[in-house]
Amino acid sequence: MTSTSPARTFLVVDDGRSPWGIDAASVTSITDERDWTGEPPRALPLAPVDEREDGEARRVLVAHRHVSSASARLPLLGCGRFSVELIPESDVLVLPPILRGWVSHVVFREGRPPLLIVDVDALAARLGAPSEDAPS
Amino acid sequence: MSTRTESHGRSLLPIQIQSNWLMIDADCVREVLGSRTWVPIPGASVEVPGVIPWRGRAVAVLDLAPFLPGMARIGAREQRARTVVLQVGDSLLALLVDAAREVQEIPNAQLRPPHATHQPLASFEVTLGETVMPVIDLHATVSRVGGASAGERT
Repeated sequence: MTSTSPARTFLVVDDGRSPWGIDAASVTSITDERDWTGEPPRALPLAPVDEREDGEARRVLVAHRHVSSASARLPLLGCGRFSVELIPESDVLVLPPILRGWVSHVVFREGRPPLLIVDVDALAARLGAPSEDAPS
Repeated sequence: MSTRTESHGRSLLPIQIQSNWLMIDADCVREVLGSRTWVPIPGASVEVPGVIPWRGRAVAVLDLAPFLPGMARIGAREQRARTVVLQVGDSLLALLVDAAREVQEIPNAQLRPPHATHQPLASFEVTLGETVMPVIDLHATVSRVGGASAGERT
């Protein structure tokens, strides 16, 4: 069945327990953790990544942040399945103001755990990430 | 739900959470649903720990346990038999309850200051059958959890 309603594209990181998504347009790269050479990636404040089962793929995704007049990137550690999903705009529900933090939206999915949508800028603030990249 | 308050009394909905029977203002009730799965939101407060989907919105779940002595907080995977969607001022909230009875029309003369019940959020108490129930002041509750920003504005 095809949908004609507007849709948004998310990169979804799904370990089967606490899936989260990020606006796909903000993702600049995805790298296997073993090949990552940049600053240490940050884990989302969900279930600790170090406690995940062995064998789950661990990757570093770099998200671009919207910092005024500065280039800023946020390397995030994710494990499990990475996929790009097109989600109808009407399914992406904004959180009530009191709950809106680094999770800004939620998607309820039939038969699957709900998807938490991450606000990159709010997450960077929550993690205390620097406001701009260090000069290379 | 037509539950307009009469000048000589109030329309109240009895609800049960765990072993506690409470009453809430029926005028605040938008809908009583069946069991709904709620989603915890990381970083949320204990009073408003997550959301449920309702009519194309994410509605904040209100947990009364932090305000009511002896009541256990709702668990992350806990489901309850009924979901009461509330409109309190500008805020839309969902209360997960174990049971709800029919709306009761309570004359003002039967609304007594809290005495037998010791609930900080109660404005009155009412005896229904043999059970004394506190009448929860939903507006005061919402004020304590963040005022008008507590839920999705309508």
